[in-house]
Amino acid sequence: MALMNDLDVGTGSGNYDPILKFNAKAGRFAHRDSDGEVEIENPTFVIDLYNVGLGWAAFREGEAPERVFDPEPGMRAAKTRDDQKRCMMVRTFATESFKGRAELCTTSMHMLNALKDLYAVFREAAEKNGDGKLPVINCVGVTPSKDKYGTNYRPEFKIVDWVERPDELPDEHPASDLIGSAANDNAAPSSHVAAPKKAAANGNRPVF
Amino acid sequence: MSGLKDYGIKHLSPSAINQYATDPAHYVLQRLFNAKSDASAAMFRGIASETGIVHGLYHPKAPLQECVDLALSEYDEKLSFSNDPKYESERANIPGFIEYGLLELRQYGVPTSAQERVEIELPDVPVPVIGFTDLIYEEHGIVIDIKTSLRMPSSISDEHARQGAVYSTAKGNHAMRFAYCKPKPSKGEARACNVYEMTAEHIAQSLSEVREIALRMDRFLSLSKDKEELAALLVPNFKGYLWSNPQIREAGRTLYGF
Repeated sequence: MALMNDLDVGTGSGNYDPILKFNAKAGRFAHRDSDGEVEIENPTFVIDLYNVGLGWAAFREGEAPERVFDPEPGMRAAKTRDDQKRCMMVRTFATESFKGRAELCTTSMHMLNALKDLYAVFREAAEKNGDGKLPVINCVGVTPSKDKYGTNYRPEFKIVDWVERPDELPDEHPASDLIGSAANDNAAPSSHVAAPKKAAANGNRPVF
Repeated sequence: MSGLKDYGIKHLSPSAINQYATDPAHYVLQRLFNAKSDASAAMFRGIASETGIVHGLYHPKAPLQECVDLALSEYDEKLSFSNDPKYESERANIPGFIEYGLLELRQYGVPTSAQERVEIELPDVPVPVIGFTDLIYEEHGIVIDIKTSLRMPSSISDEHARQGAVYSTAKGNHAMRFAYCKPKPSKGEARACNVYEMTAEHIAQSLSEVREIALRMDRFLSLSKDKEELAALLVPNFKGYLWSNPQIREAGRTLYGF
């Protein structure tokens, strides 16, 4: 899949990876796995920006998120629930800030804007380098932003290194099991049609 | 007076029609200003996979590896000077496309033809619309176009439907099917190649769209014989997928000035 032009998420899996989350109200990262949730300060991690899932997500306390991802860049998935917002999902990996792989999936406008700016920098460097290496990013701080919802924080990222793709981050869509159908009001979903029962005889003269 | 003929355009194709419908600025850049770009790994992954599948269909007893080797050889040759970071990952998908494509399409038997040139005339459109079908099965009255994708679409896109409408019409209203191939099945599924067929209504509607877009292209091009003047009327959407190639994007920024 070619690199996308940018992370234009727009306005509005059976995956059990640990979670890397950002609380925009507190301006803090946290890592959550089966052992619980731990706050992390200014984490450093590998981020797989070659494989970014854009789609819709609804997060509700105490419930598994309901998510669906766009089938192709530029083609939005149909929502599966009215309260879903545009989201971005990407896989990360670290050995110090947290251990192993973690999924970062966010609908936070502040995080999305930060990742969008990061993506632009990443894209330019990745195309120039052409070696397929993944960026290692560090959250160098947070910037407060006041709006009608109060004060929220936007993380500030900096690419600090480039590494070979870790085995823990296979080159694949982060949530291929959650790809949705294209939101196309004019196209009814299609059904697979079986091959004709009697195949062509070998006497057909191919024209090639 | 025909804008298409003024610009020396002797025929249209489904891809040109779709390109114009999606982003006229991209069409003008590539077709009038002849902006070129290096081949992408994704594009040749599809072409090479089709080569492997077609070989396997014409040689029903050929082992899968033979079809895969042919495809990989073509892919490597076409991209021998490529700097595309997706070179390896796209290459790795080719065997799966071929395997699952053949699993489904060998059921149809040996095709009557592959890459057959077809042509249709549309009312009031001054030039013909031409295309090249992937597979034709005259015995079944079916045209099949092979599509490779990392994800399985749930329906035939508008762009593919326009292409299918041209093929189906050119072949005397053969049934039009699209074989969408993924490199591997999803969890719980054995099949990674879904074949969707266009309904007669869908073909008729899509053909109507092809005609309307072609007429609009002709009208637009007739506005001026100066391509710079035409370009000055347009606004590129650099966020669209057509602009994903950095060379084309750079050429677009140069032409359109922003």
